[in-house]
This record gives sequence, structure tokens and C-alpha cells, in this order.
Amino acid sequence: MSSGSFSVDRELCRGTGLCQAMVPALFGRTDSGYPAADTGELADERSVVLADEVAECCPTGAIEVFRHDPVHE
Amino acid sequence: MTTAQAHAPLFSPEYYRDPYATLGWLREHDPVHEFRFPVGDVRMWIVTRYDDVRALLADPRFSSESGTWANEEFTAAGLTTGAGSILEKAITVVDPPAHTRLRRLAMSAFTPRRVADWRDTVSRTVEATLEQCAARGTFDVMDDYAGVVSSGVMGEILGFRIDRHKELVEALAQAFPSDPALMDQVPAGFGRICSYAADLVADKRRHPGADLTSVLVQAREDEDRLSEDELVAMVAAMILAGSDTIRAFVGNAVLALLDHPDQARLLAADPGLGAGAIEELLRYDGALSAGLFRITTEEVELAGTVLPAGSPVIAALLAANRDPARFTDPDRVDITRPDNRHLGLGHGLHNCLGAALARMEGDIAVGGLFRRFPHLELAMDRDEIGYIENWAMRRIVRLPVRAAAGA
Repeated sequence: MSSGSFSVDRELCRGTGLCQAMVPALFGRTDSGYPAADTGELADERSVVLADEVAECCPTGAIEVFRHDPVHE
Repeated sequence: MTTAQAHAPLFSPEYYRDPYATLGWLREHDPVHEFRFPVGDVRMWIVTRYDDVRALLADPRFSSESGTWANEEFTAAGLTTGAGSILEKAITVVDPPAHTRLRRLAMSAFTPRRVADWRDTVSRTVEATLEQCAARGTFDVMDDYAGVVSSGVMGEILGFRIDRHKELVEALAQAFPSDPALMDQVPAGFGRICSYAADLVADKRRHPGADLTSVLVQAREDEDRLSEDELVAMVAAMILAGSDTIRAFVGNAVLALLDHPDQARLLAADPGLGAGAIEELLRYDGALSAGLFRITTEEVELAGTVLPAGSPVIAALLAANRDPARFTDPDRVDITRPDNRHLGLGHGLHNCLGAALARMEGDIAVGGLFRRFPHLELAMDRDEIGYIENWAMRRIVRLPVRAAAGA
């Protein structure tokens, strides 16, 4: 069971490579600077925190992080 | 190199007039080029191919923290940005985790909503400045238009008084000299900018407003995530990154459109092309010639060249954005160019955090000028146009234009 997930809005994303520079393990290492996948699972709390930091640093606000509510899982 | 070279040496007066000949030659023949930086005669490398520039800007082994990683020669030459001042820890020159903390905070002040709110400020400033230019008939794009717009917008956004702007421009010139003889004045230049930022922070703490400085002061007081020095350094970094860059970009963009009148007409006729035009103009001739120094944290091989640990490296954004391996017909302006992923606003961890504001301001200022003056023409000899002699910023000194008939 994952702790959360993220999604990338391709309309907003400009491929600045910030997410990949910050956490390549979550956003992949593509040559283009665009994240490898539009969505992804965040396995543990640590990943959720990291993804949150990236979302807050993204210059176009293209990343959204969802925290799964343990009560409903 | 024994070949007779048709291009000017890096960072020579001829190079500043036309860097593209030199950069194009290097991109083709010596893409990771070793040379001696004129200030301090420091051994350095300059990287010119699109793929290599992007790769190095995305690679954590190329650190922005020269105060930590640079070799003795670089440090002794006084090339560490902001050395000896609080700017040594500014957002532009630190690595994670400090960078992450500062960037989150800065971005929280640059929300899409706040940037959208600034649209009125930008439009109002542009309109008022266009009025003044129309009254002049002939005017200098750098001093009478781009400079007035960029400092006016910056002043309103950060909340500073316009009467101190000239002083600030002088301090900026002192902090980033191109003349090696003026290097001893650098700390004083940074000192002035920091004290200016400190005054502004103190003022906004007493009289908070709707400006960005007040938002950052509040962030410090709410969560204490930012030390006082970091707060002042953040404001100083925003002044450094956001004032002369916009002015330079608008100047370069106007000249590019004067050189490509078909594209200027296209833009003036259809404001819907504005966003794509700004991307193309950022690619074609952006404000930053290069990113700030990157330093290798370990021995790194880049495109076949081995760089020792502690080496200073320059990422040549101008060269990357004209790489024919990435862009079709790169020396031509095409405001409808598809898939225009240029590096004009940088790449990776330190990509421009004010990008949304820069794009909006550029769009309104450049498009607005050509819509107001559809017959705008250069009022000086094209060959006489000069650039400031600064390795990192590409800014025209004077760009006189005539509003011409029909205005």
C-alpha cells in the first residue's frame, strides 16, 4: 500500500528539469527535462515529503501531490 | 590551437559585439573548451553544445556553491559570487538541502495567483512608459523604455522607492564588472546591494504592504524557516536577478524584431502569438549569456573531456540556444517555432524562479511596443550597436529608435 501519489500537468510543465535534479528516483532521468511519467505512486512517507518539496519548488506549479488517507485504505 | 582563427577570443571587445561567431566555432570544434578567464587568469572550461549544457545544468556534480567547491586559483581571484557578504549563502549559489528550503520559500511568494495579480502592474507601467516614448518621438529602448519598465515593475513588486533606482544600477555595475582593474570594488558593490535590501526589509517590517518583500518578511516571522541574513540575502538576490535582466531581454528582443520585420509585423497583428514569440526571443538572444559559475565536486568526464575536481565551468546558454543539432535554422527568428525548449531561463535546480513574471513582462513590453509603434525603426547605424562587457549578461548599451510615421 502506498502513502500517496503525484501527477504532472503536461500543459503547465515546461521541462525545466528541476524535479529530476531534485529527486531523480521519483521523476526519472530523461534527457528532455520532462518527467518520465505523468503520474506515480509514492511508496512511503519519506517519498511523499520529497515529492511535496519538489512540487513547491517547481517554477510552473505543474506537480500535484496526493497524500492517501490511511483511514480509508 | 595553431589554426588561424577568424573569430574573436572569448570575452574580448569583439566577442561582446558578436559572441555567436566565437561560440559557433567552439560548439563545432571544441565543445568543452579550456581557456583562461580574463579576471585573475583562471583556468576554466566553457561548454557550448545544447545537450552538454543541459546535461551539466541537471547534474549535481556541477555545483553552484563555488564558495565550497572551487579550487584555490578561482577563490584567490575573487570570483566567488558574493564572497564575504551574506550573498555567499543566497539561493543562486547554494546546493541542496539549503537550496530546497530557500527555493520553496521563494516560490511560495511567486504563486501563479500573485504573478497574475502583477499583470495589471506591468500593463499600467508599460502603458505609461509608451506614452512618454510617444511624446519623445525618438527614444532609447534601453534607458527610456526597457529600463523604465523593468525598474518600475521591480520597484512595485518588491515595494521600493523609485528614487533609489539609479543608485542601485550603479551598485549592480560595481558588483559585476568586466574590467579586471575594477575587481577590488566588487565586495563594495555587493555590500551596497545587501545594505539596500536590509533597509527594505527593515522598512517593510515597520510598514508591511502587499509587496513581495513584505510576504518574505511574513514568512520569516510565521515559521522562522529563514534566518535574518537569509531573508536579506533573498531580497538582495531578487534585486540582482530581476532588475537588469528584464531590461536586457527587452532590448535584445526589440533588436531581434527590428532585424526580422516580417516577424515583428506578425506579432503586432496577432497578440495571440505573444507567448510563443517570447519563447523564441528568449532562445534567439536571451539576457544571460551563461549561467553562474558551476564547479565540479569531483573529477567529471563531460563529452570526452576530463575536468578535475574543483574546476570552474561556464554553461554557455547563448551557444546552446543556437545549436543546429537541436534547433532548425537556429540563427533565424521564427515566433511560431514548434517544440521550443530553449535554455534561456536556465535548466535544472537553479532554473529561473521568476520565469512566469519574466515571460509575462516580456510579452506585454515587447508586444506592446510594436503594437503601439508598428513602424518602429532603428535611429542609429546597425553596426554601431554595442553591448556591455560582462561575461554573464548580454545587454545592449544604447538602442535609439524612431516611432516613425503612423505612430
